[in-house]
Amino acid sequence: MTPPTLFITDRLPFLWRLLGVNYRQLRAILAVKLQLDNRRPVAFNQWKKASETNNAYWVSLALYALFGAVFAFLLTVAPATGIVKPATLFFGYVLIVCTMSLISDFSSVVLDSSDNQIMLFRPVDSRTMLTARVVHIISYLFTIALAVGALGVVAIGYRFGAVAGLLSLVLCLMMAILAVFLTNVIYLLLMQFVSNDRLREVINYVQIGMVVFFYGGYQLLPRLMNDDGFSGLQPFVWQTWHYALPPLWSAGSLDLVVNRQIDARHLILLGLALVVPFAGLYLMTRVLAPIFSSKLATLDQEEKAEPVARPISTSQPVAPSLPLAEKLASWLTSSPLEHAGFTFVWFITGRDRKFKLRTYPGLGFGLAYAVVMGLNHQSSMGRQGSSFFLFILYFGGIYIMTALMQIAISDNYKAAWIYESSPMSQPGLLLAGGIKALVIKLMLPYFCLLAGYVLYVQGTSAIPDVLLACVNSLIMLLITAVMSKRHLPFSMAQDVVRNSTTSRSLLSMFIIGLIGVAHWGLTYIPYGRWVALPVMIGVAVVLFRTYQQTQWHEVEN
Amino acid sequence: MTPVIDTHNLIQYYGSTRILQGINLSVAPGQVVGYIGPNGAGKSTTIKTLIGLLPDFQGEVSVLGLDLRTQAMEIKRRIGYVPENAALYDLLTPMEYLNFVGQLYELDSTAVERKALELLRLFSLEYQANDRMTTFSKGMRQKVLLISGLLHNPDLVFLDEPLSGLDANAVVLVKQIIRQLADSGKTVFYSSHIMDVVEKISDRVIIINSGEIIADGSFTELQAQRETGSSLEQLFGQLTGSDGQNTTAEEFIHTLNQ
Repeated sequence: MTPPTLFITDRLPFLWRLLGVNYRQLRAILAVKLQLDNRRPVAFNQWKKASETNNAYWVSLALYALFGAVFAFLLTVAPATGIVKPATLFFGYVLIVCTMSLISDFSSVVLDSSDNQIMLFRPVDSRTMLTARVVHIISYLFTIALAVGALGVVAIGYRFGAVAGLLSLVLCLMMAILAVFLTNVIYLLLMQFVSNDRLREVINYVQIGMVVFFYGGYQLLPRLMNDDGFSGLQPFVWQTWHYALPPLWSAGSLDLVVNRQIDARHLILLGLALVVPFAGLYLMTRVLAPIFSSKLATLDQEEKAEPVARPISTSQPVAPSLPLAEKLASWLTSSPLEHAGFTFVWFITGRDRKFKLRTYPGLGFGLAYAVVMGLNHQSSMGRQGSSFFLFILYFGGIYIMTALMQIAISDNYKAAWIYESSPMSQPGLLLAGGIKALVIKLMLPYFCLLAGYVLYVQGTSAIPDVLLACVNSLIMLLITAVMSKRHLPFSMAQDVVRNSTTSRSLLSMFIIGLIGVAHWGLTYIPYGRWVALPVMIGVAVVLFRTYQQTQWHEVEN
Repeated sequence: MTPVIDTHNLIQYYGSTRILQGINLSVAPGQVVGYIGPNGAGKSTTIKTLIGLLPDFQGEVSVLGLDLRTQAMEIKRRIGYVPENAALYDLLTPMEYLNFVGQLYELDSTAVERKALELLRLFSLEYQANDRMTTFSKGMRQKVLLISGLLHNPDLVFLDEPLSGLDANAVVLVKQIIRQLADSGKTVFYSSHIMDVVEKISDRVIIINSGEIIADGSFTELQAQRETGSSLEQLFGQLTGSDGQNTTAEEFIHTLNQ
């Protein structure tokens, strides 16, 4: 059976001629890619391997649709004359969701160089290759755009007739194409301005930044809407700079159909909405594809670059100054094995891009959440407010627990044979060193930031809370570590860890919740927190000792 | 006879480092050319340039009589390339993968199917022809890769460590195939670190070091320039300036014992 994507592409020969691609090859590449997606054991695509199962993909689609419902509701209640604002938000949301999924989930596909290794030396031109890649991405992006837009489209179709509904459907898909174009341009710009060596790393940070930015945007959106006042009775005032915002193109086009506003401005907007995505596609395949591919080829080459042969120098290498990790390790660890675990985890967490991409956004979410909620709470500074600040203090702990899950995971997990072949008698020491590195490197700075914020807002009265929360976060981390399956650092493939959620981890979640509630309760007892502090420190030490004693048979691999 | 590969002062940069320092090379058809050099000498870069993967080169290069700058696509159609440790889509079966490759070369699919099955049979992979390659050993993958590089019957073949992972019988078979490809008028450009093999199968040996050709000729010619009776391994050591391996090994053991 022909997959739907191929069924559609088969019907667009004029498009391929226009773009100047070799359709036979394009079809072969697409067919293989779709087939590969079907066969991947975990998910529908290789780029989701990082964090999601197939289920998670559908869940996220459902979530998108749910958010979409909010906009559909706005579209339903807004008066016809004020349709532009809700429509702008609606199409903007489609664009943002598409761009975000491109950046976070599909980037490895956009930047995939394994295709190059297999195809570049064969007689396939870069235009065909890039187009295949783009069509492949778009085919998934359309699904997302449809999930997001479905309710809105139905709402529009129901209120304003089939023509408006169909138009908004098309406009949603245009947003998806535009997202692909924009992301490609962003990556290309990055490639122009960032040296090859740092490109992947910079892209990594851009991804993290974008994810945080959009998440913060979501948090702020309701506030902005309140300010606007969504009565929408006054007609929308068009400004020249509105021509630069794609969601307004679509909203304007809808306005044209719904309110029969047939004037030059609306026709221009409609034209922009329908033409620009295809112009982008054309530009991408005609102009940008060769640049993109050659950039990617060098990116690839760099990874494979053989070490440059140097004449064997007879002089002694200069002893480099001891890196920070080594210094910290010698202060904080007592055995060589713990030392090894500490520095190993410290180095890899700083260098593994995938690890950073999996953990750092969580950190940003926490901050964005803290700030936004803090702003909301500033008006009501009662008892309610202070328990909220307790909650903020535990973000560090929650964040570090996800990081703990992640240090077991590596793409390079096969290298873990070294543990097995080494005469290591007590793997607990290595684990303990690793957990120390995590706490020092990731949790403490973050916790200090949050604590600083809380102290700034709450004043010195929050000091016992800060101290207790710090110890409690450590306890939570150690409970998770002790109760869940123990894996040596970077020794697991992604899929294995993901599937190992057990009742034990549920139990530990329960205990963790209990600790948080207990802290909240203690705030009502005079000196309760000061009494609890030494007790909890004792508990933490005991837990750490237990973890340190981990034997081989307790380690899962 | 037009040379199959003809480069004139080929220079290639990586960033600001000059990797190839002006390679002059002329290869006649029907030869097996062994292209050897230490790590980082520029072997892979040369090959990647010749097959059109690195278009930003300086100098004149023609492959199969075609200009590499303007006719790269035509060249790609007529050459075969088997990279070292190459990636392949291992979720596919060998047949699916070879069909896919055939489509990229725009070959007739029924012919590809017949040919691929036959070639797999000759490599004793007929029973695995429809199994996914995820479970394949390195040698089995290498066999599929070799077939995928030769499927379109290229006139010029670039092989980078083609014997890696193959078992002893397959090694003999592939060496024979390389020989007979050359005997039938095709050209094989062979890059490897295993000197014994290069010595045995090459009609011509080219040694490069730091981006420059430092020796070029048949094995006997190279031998004649140095002491007769030495192996290619020894020649290679002398030419690339690291023939003090014995002393280095001694030092190595000494350091271990400290």
